[in-house]
Amino acid sequence: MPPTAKIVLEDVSFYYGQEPALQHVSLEIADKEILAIIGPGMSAKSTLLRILNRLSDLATEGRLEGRVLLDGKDIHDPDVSVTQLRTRVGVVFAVPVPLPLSIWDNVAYGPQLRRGVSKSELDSLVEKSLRAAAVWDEVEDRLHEPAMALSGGQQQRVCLARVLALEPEVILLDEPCSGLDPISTMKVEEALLTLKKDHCIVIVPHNVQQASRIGDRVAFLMGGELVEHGSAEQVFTKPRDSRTDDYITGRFG
Amino acid sequence: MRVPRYTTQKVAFGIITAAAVGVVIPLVLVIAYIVVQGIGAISWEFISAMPRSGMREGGILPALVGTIWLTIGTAVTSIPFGVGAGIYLSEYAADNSLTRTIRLAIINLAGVPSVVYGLFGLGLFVIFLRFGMSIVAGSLTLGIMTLPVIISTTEQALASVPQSFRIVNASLGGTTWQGIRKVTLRQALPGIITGVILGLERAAGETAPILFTVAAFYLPRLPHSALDQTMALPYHLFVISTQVPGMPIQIQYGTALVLMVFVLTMNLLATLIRRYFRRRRQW
Ligand SMILES: Nc1ncnc2c1ncn2[C@@H]1O[C@H](COP(=O)(O)OP(=O)(O)O)[C@@H](O)[C@H]1O
Ligand SMILES: [Mg+2]
Repeated sequence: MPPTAKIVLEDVSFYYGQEPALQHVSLEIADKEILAIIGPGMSAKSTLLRILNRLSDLATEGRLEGRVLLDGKDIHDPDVSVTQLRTRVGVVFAVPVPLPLSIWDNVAYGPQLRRGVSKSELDSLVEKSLRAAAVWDEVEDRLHEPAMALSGGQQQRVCLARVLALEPEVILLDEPCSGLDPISTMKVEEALLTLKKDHCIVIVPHNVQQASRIGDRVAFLMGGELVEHGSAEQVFTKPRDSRTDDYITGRFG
Repeated sequence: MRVPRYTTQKVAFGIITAAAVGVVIPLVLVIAYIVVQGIGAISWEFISAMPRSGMREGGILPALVGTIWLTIGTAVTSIPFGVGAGIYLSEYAADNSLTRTIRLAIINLAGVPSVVYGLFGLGLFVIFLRFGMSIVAGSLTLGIMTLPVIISTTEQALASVPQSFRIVNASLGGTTWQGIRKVTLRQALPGIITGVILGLERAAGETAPILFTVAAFYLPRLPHSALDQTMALPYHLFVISTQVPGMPIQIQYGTALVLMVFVLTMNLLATLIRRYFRRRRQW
């Protein structure tokens, strides 16, 4: 049975002013899988992620061509609410940015923006999210202390929990482990492997090894072009394009 | 022969220190002089009684109360518009010719002499809008004069909040307004409060803008309503220093001392608030 496509990109290009960043990318992203987007720096991996929840709208003079479909619906249709889209498609950034609030308030931030969520619902949502992000044990005694006082690895997992509290369908992660120690990295990866059972996950890993550890599918971007896309096994063992081969064997990038 | 480097360094350090100390000296002298000259006039009666005998005796209560009312009125008229405009310019306005014009207007407003505000207030509020010489007219005039300070400090305080907080708010499905309310404004609050108080402080001490809009020469009673005239400390000080023959020097300096304490108290308040919030800030 072929996996269902959660997200479809149809000939998507993105420009910053006159500069093309992402060029003519067509890609299907399956539900309940982890897609790893790899490629050298400046190849528009982050740009691609930001397009998926329309954070790209915030770029001054940014311009998008092509269509992005979520469950078959164009996310740029005028009747799509961008704030609602962003709760369906959550994102974790490379550098954890806790808001200057308590841990509890950080995790409850998204759900609190909606009306009519009770305190007890929030409490259980916060706990559930922190558990799923594998950080509950470390913060349960200090939920009302500032999130900024946590270590980098804990902050990043709290930021993941903050996204999980949105109860999103898609989780985007942009080099989420780049600043983390190996143990925190392992915890995040384990959390992702559990989460993919009922989420669509798109990650820009910070290295090829991470892609091979957790990716079901791999897309290789270079210079804003999608060079190759396939199952992790295929891309890593029998890359179709010599540039992919060069990249994963570490000949450049 | 070259002067050794550490000698130049010492000389430069000396000059800079002297300059810093030099700035403090006039301030200390002014304060000390006013305290020494005026302290003898200060008594409970001085701040709680009406002036008598052509202001040569009694207290300054109506002027003190008038200045308090005018400061409150200025706050009420200038804070909502000033903070609102600052939020708009920092968080919403695109960089286009309209907003550039608004910014230019604000900068120029800040440079308008206060007596011009006074005349403007006379024309618009006292005569055209028929408020007459009144606390309302004076407060509005002072409020407009204070706007530029509040707008630009609000804008700067917001601009110093890291952009990443706004992106996180957006990425969690927050609207710009939700981000402002829940994160940005709270972080910018100490800066905004400081700006507001500094603006109000200046308004409290101004004479020219209230001269034609509210200030009474001699009105030994408290104002009945917001449409009433009132005495006010800065104008009262001007009057007793220049317009009343045979005025005891001590009363002049006593009045100056009360005005100074009023303004410095606001200043102290601003410092305390800023310190309180800065200690709680986490970035
Ligand atoms: N906000 C922006 N404004 C202008 N140019 C940008 C912006 N973000 C990224 N770019 C440009 O787009 C290209 C791709 O960047 P990015 O998506 O960050 O690549 P990657 O994540 O693969 O390193 C780069 O050339 C970068 O300079
Ligand atoms: Mg990147």
